[in-house]
Amino acid sequence: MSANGPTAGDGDQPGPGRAADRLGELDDEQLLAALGEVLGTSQSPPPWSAELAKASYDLLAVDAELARLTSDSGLATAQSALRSAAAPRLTVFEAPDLSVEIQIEPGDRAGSWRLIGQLTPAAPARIQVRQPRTQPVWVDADDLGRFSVDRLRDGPLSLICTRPGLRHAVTQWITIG
Amino acid sequence: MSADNVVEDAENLPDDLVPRLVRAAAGGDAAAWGQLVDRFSGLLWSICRAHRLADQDAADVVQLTWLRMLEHVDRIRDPERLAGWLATTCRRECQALLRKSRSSLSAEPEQVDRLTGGGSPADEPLLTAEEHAALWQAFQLLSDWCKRVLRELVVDAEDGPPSYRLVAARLQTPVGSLGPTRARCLRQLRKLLDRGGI
Repeated sequence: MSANGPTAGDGDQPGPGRAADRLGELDDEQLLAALGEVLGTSQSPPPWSAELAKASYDLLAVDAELARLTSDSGLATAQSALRSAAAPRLTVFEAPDLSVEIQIEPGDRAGSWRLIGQLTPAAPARIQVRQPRTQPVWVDADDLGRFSVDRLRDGPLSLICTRPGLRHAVTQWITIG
Repeated sequence: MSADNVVEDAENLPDDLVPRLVRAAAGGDAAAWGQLVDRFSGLLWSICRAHRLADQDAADVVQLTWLRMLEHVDRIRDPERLAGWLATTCRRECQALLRKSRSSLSAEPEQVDRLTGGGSPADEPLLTAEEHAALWQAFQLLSDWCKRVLRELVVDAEDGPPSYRLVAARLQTPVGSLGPTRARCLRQLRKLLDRGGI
């Protein structure tokens, strides 16, 4: 399982019944301790968090092939972080008929990010660069499948690649910054 | 007496509500999506709290979890298990964020020594994500009175459980009734857990 979140319906998680069975075996003191962890400081989420989640619905990519994150140098271990703190981050997404490689590096403005991308197989495409709370940016990939976009902000990022005659491909969300 | 009315609305909750909402959201129904968000935001927030994330980090993780749900919404084959799926996804994102902040700390040489002991045990929740989701869901179905009682009993769990006397005073209930009430509410919680997947 990759580090970018579970795949829906993979069936590799214990079901709620089994989790409930394990909880049922706890004695009262243990059950209360478990409840203490779930209730925590008992604070509700701030309302804007739910509002943001509702607004995210606009980012639903309808009828698009999912390009899964298969490699991400940003998910480094402590050791590799020591080696590569200064190197640009390289991520690869794979859909059945398309691979999207993107490099993320500091942009031309302080605090912004530049993204340099490569589509394989190389072909022209329109790329929609999406971040929550921001208007999407469109860029073109050239005949060699190369594209770049600058002045992206910290936060989640996903691309939709539109190619003539082919199904759209949407990358999984990653967080930049 | 409100304590007798221990379970609220559990009987009236249609089993297929969540699967229907998931299908509707996948089909373009923004209101259905909104209902899922309202229903499970508290669960995601409590997972972040169990990982001791600060507000801003928790908000980032919750947002990313919803985006993951969105990217998978038309591929979720088992929507009955949505709570467990969300909890598992959220937990992974919590762990990814904690790993990232640790590795950026360890990139500072003077910090390395402090971190060689690995993560502090306090960072590691006792429960699996699935258990957390099951318990959270069962708790939501308790009566308000049981919720209040159990909440008071587990509050400030870090400093040890509060005394019955203190909890009874907060709840304005006789101290002698607290033990039986606690037992009754835990029994109800177990019943709700037994039904599983609600």
